[in-house]
Amino acid sequence: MDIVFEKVEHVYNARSPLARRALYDVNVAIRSGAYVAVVGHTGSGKSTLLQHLNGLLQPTSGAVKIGEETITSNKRPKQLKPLRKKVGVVFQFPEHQLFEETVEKDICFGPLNFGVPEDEAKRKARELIKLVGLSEDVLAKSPFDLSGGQMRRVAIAGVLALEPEVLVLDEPTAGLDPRGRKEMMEMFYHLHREKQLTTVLVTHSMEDAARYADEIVVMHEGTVWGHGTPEEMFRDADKLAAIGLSVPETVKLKQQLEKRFGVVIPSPCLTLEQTAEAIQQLFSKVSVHD
Amino acid sequence: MTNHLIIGQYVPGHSVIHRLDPRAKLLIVFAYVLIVFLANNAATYALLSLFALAFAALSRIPFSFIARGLKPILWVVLFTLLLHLFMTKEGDVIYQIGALSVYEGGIKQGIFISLRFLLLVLMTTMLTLTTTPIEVTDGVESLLGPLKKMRVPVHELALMMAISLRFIPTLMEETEKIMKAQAARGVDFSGGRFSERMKAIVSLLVPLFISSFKRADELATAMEARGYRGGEGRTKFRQLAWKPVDTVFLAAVALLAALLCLLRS
Amino acid sequence: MAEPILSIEGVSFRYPNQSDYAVQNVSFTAERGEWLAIVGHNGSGKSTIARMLIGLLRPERGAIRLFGRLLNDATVWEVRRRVGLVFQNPDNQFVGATVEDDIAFALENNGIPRSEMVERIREAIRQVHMEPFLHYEPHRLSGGQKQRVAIAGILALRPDMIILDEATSMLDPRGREEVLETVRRLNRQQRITVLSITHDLEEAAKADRLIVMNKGEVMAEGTPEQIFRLGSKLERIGLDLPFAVKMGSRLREQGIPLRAGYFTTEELVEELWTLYSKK
Repeated sequence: MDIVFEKVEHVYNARSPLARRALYDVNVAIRSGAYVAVVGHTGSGKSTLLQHLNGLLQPTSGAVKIGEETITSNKRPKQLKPLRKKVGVVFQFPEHQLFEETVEKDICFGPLNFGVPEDEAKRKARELIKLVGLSEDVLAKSPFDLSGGQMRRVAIAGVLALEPEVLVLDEPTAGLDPRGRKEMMEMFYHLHREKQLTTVLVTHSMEDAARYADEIVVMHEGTVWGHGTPEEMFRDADKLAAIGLSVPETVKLKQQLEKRFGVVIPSPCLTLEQTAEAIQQLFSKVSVHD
Repeated sequence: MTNHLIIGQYVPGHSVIHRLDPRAKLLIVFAYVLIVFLANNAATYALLSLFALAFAALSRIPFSFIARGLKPILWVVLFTLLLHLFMTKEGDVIYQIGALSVYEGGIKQGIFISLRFLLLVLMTTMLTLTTTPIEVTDGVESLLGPLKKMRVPVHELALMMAISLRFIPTLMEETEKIMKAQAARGVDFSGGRFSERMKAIVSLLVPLFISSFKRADELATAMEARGYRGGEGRTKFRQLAWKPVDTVFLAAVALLAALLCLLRS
Repeated sequence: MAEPILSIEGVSFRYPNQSDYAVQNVSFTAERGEWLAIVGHNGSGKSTIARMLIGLLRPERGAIRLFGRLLNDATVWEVRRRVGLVFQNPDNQFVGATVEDDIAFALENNGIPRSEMVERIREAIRQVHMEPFLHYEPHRLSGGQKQRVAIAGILALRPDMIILDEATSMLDPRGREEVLETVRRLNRQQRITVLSITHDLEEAAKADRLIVMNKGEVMAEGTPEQIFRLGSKLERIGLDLPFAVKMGSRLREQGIPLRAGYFTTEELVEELWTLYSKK
């Protein structure tokens, strides 16, 4: 499902003394099947942007097109439900949305709301619990008897159970330890490819953006500051630094090496593996010269 | 999640009313609420209204703002007015519509009772409009101080109140977050069948309760870590200072009460 | 050498109704003015230690000594005055209605006279660079700012030690940097001992000394350099090595003869340059 933002503006508490403009002149196109990372500081408009993706917020001007549906300031689809089923959102600290007596019921909650028959919802719950890395016997437990990390996985299963075409992730790894973070990001990447999802990841981690995303949207002070491939976006570290953002460690290393060695490294150096490869080549070239 | 009920909303300012000691304001409003019931004729009601209007004017809060806040209670006032208009059967009949007759006493009663109600709300609203919740708490704690001797846990109650106030914005934010997360899972908070609505409310309240308990637990731990062990031996940072102007305002209320006693019939 | 400011000896702890020990036979010391990091994955027992240090939990076995005195019911309140703990969630430790009220909270608890409070609050807020926010309510502050207020609340008591219990894990990168920068400055300028409990080895790399926890036990102890030599052993217990260390070991595997023992990107670049120019 393609998603297009056209001149989107969002003002909170419009027409009141407390009015605050959170987004303006946002023009972004997200093509179907892409993995897009949205980066920017707290308060840059990231989370306001993501709430437009499933009609939780309506633009105060401009238009958001999600597949066939168009949402503008005075027009939104009569039924938001079909849209919400197609666009699944994993909010920050999603474990805070758990409420049912059992894990199974909680995972089935979304599908049942969207009219999925109970048998099928249960079948899906069994499938998803394994997908998020938990065992089937967790289904019968109360979600509140689980550890924080497990609760988060259950909550994520509850969103995946909607079988969305677009998956929106708002800092899904916040508060996890390094291993938990890595496992979770790998899981989403795996899902993205296997189910051919369109994935929108809101993150503070430039490493994750560089490793997983096809495209990066940089938000700054309520509007799109830049949009391009990771390679394009991380090319100019100084410009990013000017708006208080950094480049991934690998890109930092590449740039410092280029400066120190007086060479140009052709590789974009977006991951550790790529960078190691590039350094290897740098060294082997020298050997050839010898 | 914006509401237009201004009762309880503080409007920052530096007027004489804002700067009154919260204890003075509490006493004034409390006394006013009592003496309102002394009024029983045009002169006494006029006096009371004059006092309340002067109080509101001194606060320098735009009258249109106060009026907007009073709007939600207007229908109650109207209802009271109509009720008395038709139910009181005293004095001459002024007007007759079919079986319903309006008596002179009814008009008087209707106007007086609704005015009384309006004045009560106006004065209590003035208190919260010009006093931060934390000042109200300080004032209450100080005024109830003598009860400590009777083993009423005044300090604890005040602290409870202060903490609750501190967490209101936090909980509002949390409520909104959970509502959004559940809406994304297909919950419709605005309509649906009764059973669906109940489910929607449960999906909001359970997470809200759980997170509040967790917050309470963490907060209690943090308070203990920061050396909190009850009111004993505790000093106080927030201080209240009784100024001559506070005494003047209280005297004004006493004068008002005396005049009401003289003028009432 | 002077007596350690903190020493814990053979401490074990179990949560009620649990058969497994959350902390088992843990011993270590901290010197005055030191920055000590306790690292471990979530659930490794590191936060339990923090809570025992200020008497919020009581060890089942073993002894905790602070400032040369045994931690017990008689000394716990003094310990809580001299040791400040910054918790993970910035919201759930903010008690006061405004910044100044919150900083005053611990002063009130300790019976500091009002006249002295005003001075101490001013001093504390200055040290965390939050002067313009003195009258702000908590919901108008960012997470990083709230954590700095929590630190100011501790500083107002003129503490000897600050414990950061995952205090930066809920913050964005900017907030994290603000908080760490503040604590680093206090550690250097005022020689306040810092005990930082974290799963972020990048953050721990800046400590003087590291203690690695795994399943409630101390797995290793040493300088960052010594600890990072453990390499994949750390990754196996759920930790992530600093980037330069990871990169270095990857390059070594590929046959580039890098020497071990650096953990910033700058050091790695220099190391590579040395090798490169020798060729």
